[in-house]
Amino acid sequence: MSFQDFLNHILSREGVRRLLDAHSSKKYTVKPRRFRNFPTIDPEKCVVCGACADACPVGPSDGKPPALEMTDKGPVLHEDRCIRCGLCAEVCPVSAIQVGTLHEEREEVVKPPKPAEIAVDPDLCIGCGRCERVCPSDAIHVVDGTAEVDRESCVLCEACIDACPVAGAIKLLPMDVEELRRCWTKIVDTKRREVGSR
Amino acid sequence: MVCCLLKKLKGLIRSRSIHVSVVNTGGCNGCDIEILACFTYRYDLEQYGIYYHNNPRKTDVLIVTGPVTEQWKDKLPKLYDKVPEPKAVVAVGSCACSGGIFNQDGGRVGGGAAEFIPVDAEVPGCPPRPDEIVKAVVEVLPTFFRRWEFERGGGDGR
Amino acid sequence: MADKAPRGVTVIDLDTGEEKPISHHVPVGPHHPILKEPLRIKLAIRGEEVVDCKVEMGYCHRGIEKIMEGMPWQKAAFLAERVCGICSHAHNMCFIGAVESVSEGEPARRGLFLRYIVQELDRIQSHLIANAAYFYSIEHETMFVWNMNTRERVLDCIEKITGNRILTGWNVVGGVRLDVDEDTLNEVIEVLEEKVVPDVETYRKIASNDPFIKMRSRGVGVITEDMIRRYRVVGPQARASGVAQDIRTIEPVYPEVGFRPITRDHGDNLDRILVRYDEVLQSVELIERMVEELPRGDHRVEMKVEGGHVVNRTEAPRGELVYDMEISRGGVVKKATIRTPSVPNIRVLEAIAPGAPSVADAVAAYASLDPCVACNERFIVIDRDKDEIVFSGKAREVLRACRSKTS
Repeated sequence: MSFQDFLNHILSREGVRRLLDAHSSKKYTVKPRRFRNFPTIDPEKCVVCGACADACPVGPSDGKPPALEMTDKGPVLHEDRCIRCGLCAEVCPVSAIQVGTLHEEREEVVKPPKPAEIAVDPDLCIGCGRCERVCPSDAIHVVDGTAEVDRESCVLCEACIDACPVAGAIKLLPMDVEELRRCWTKIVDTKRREVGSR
Repeated sequence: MVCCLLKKLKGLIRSRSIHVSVVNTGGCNGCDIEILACFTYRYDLEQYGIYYHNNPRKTDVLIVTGPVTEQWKDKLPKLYDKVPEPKAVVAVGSCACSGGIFNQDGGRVGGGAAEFIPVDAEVPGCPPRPDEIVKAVVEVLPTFFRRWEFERGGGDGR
Repeated sequence: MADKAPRGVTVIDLDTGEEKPISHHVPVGPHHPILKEPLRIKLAIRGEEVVDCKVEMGYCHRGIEKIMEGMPWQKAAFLAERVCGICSHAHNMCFIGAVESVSEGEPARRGLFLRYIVQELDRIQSHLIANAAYFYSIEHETMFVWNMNTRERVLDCIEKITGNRILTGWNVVGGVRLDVDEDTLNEVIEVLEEKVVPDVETYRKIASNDPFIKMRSRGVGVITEDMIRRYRVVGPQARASGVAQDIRTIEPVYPEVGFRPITRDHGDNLDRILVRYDEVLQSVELIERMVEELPRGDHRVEMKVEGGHVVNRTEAPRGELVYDMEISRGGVVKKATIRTPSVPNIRVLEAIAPGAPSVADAVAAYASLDPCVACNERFIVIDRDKDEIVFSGKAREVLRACRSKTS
C-alpha cells in the first residue's frame, strides 16, 4: 500500500470509523477441527423419532423449553439453552444432526467393491434405449445417442446385455483380482476397527 | 445543531472507553475464565478500548455469567442500580441467557439474568469461546453507547 | 478479641474518658474487585491488623446433586462437569470412574492413558490460573499476564486433543470419546517442551528470587500441620506444609509412570505458589512418559453398568475430590454426594487470616489458597466439639431451603 493509498484510506468514511471506533473486521481465530459447535438439524434427513430430545440433558422448567424441543414438525433447537454437549448427534439414527466433532470418523465410508463392471462400447451402441427400459435399478441411461452406466447403482444383473440388439455393444468386464483383494482387505480392517470401537 | 454535535461527541467518547465489570451470579466459573482470557495477550479486548474494572460504581457494562441463584435474586437488581447511567448488560453463557442446564427439575436457580434486570445482549454457548465473546462485545457495545444519547433524549437517532 | 491489648488507632470516649480502639468490620464480597466468584469474607480489623475472619458461602448453590438424581450417566456426566469450570475434567473423570467401578469389565487401557494425559494438562492450566490470580491479588500484573499467556498455550493443547478449551465432555464409560493420533500427541509434547517448560522455569525463578514477591509472600498465611488436621486441608495447600498427601499414588496409571508427590516445608503463601510450579513441571514429565507408554488398541470398550453404592476418589488440581454415589442397574444415578477440595481449603482462611498485619495480606492469603467457589457449595456440616455447626450465616438458610425442597 502506497502512502497515498494509506492517506486515502484514513480519510475515507470507513477509515475514519475504524480509527475512531472500536471496530474490527478481521476474523478472530479459526475454530479447531474437533470443536463441537451448535448442532445443525437437517430437516430432509430427519425421521422425527425423538431420540435427540430424549437424550438432551437440558430438561424443561417452568417457562423455559428444553434445549432440543420435539414439536409436530420435528426437533427445534433453542440456542440460548443449548450447552453444546453433542449427545443429540451421538444418538441420531440417521445422522441428521451435525455438531462438527462426532462424525469425524464416519466421513470415510468404505463400500464393498463390485467384482465386475458393465461397459458400453460407444462405437457399437445405437442408442435404441432398450437397456434403459429393462434396467431394474435405473442405472443405465441414453445420453446423446449413447448408453451410459452409473456404477454406483448398477447391480450387475446383466439384463441390459440380454436386451441389447447389437452383439458386443454392452460387455461385462471382470475386475482385476489383485485390486479386488486389496479392497476387501481394507474393508475387513475398517470393520474390525469399528466393532472394536463400539 | 450544537446540541446534536455535543451528543455525537459524547457518544463517540463513550464508545471509545468502556469499563466492564463481571458478575458471577452462581455460574460454574467456565465463562468467567473465558472472559478473563479475553483480557490477556491473545484476544486483548483492551485494544478496542474496553477495560476490565470490577467495580460496579465505576463501570459502564455489567457482564453477567451464571444462572441467578437464590442468594443473588435480591442482590443482582441492587447491584444493577449502583451502576451509573449509561449502562448496558451483557449475558454471557447459556446459564445467564436462560438458566442453562441448571434450570430444570430440582435446580434452585432463576431463569437467567433477563428475569431480574434488563439485558441488552446475549452470548449463548456453554461456555462461549473467547472469540465469540470478543465478537459480540465489539459489535454491540460501541454502537450501543454511540446511540444511547439520542435514544434516551428522543433524538433523530442518527 | 476484646482481651487483646489495644493497638493501632485509638479514640477517647467523651462520656467515660477511656481509650478505645477503633475496630471495623470489612465485608469483602460477594461482588468485589479481587473476587472472580461470589463469596463473602467478613474481616474484623483493629487499626490495620486483622483480628477475626468469617467466611460466608452459599452464593453459588445450584442444587446439582438434586438435578442429578434420576439422570442416566450419559447426561449426568455433563452435569458433573459443570460443578466447576476450572477443574472440570477432574469432576468428569471422577464421576465416570465411579460409574465404571460398578460396571462389568475393565475400561480400555488406551482410553485410560488418554484420560490421564488430559487430566495432567488440566492440572497445568488450573495451577497456572491459580498462580496468576495470586499475583493479581498482590498487584504483580506482569506475572499475571505472563501466567495467563502460558495457560493459553496449554489450553491450545487441550483443544487439539479434545476439541474444547474447557468443559470438554471427554470421558465416557469404558474410555474416552474420540481417539487421538500420534501426530497430535507429538505436537502437544513439542509445545509443552519448547514453550511451557522454559516459561514456567522462569516464573519459578522470578517467584523465588524477586524481593517484592518475597516481602509480600514469605511468612504470610502460614498453615501448620495442626491446622491441616483440624480443617482437613488437601492438595497443594497441604503439600506446601510438608504433608505428602496425594490420591494420585493410589490411582491407576500413575504408579506405572513413576509418580511421587512433591512437598515443601514452610507452608506460607510463597511455598504454595512454588509447589504449584513444581507440580506443573512434574505434570509435563508425566505426560511425556504416558505418551511414551501409550498402549495401542481401542480407545473405548463397551461396559455394562451393574449398579450399587460407590465411593470414588480423584486428585483434582485443588486436592482430593470424592464422589459418593448410588447407581441403579443400567446407569441411572439414584443419589450423589460430592465432596470438593475447596471446602476445607477455604475454611482454613478463618485460621490463617487473624493476625495478618493488614487486610491486603489476608486477601493475598485467600488468593493463595486457590479458592474455587463454584466447587464450594456442597454443604458438609461438621460438628465441632460442642455441637456447633461449622457453616454459619447464609449457608444455613440455603440448607434450610434445600431441606424444604427435598423433603
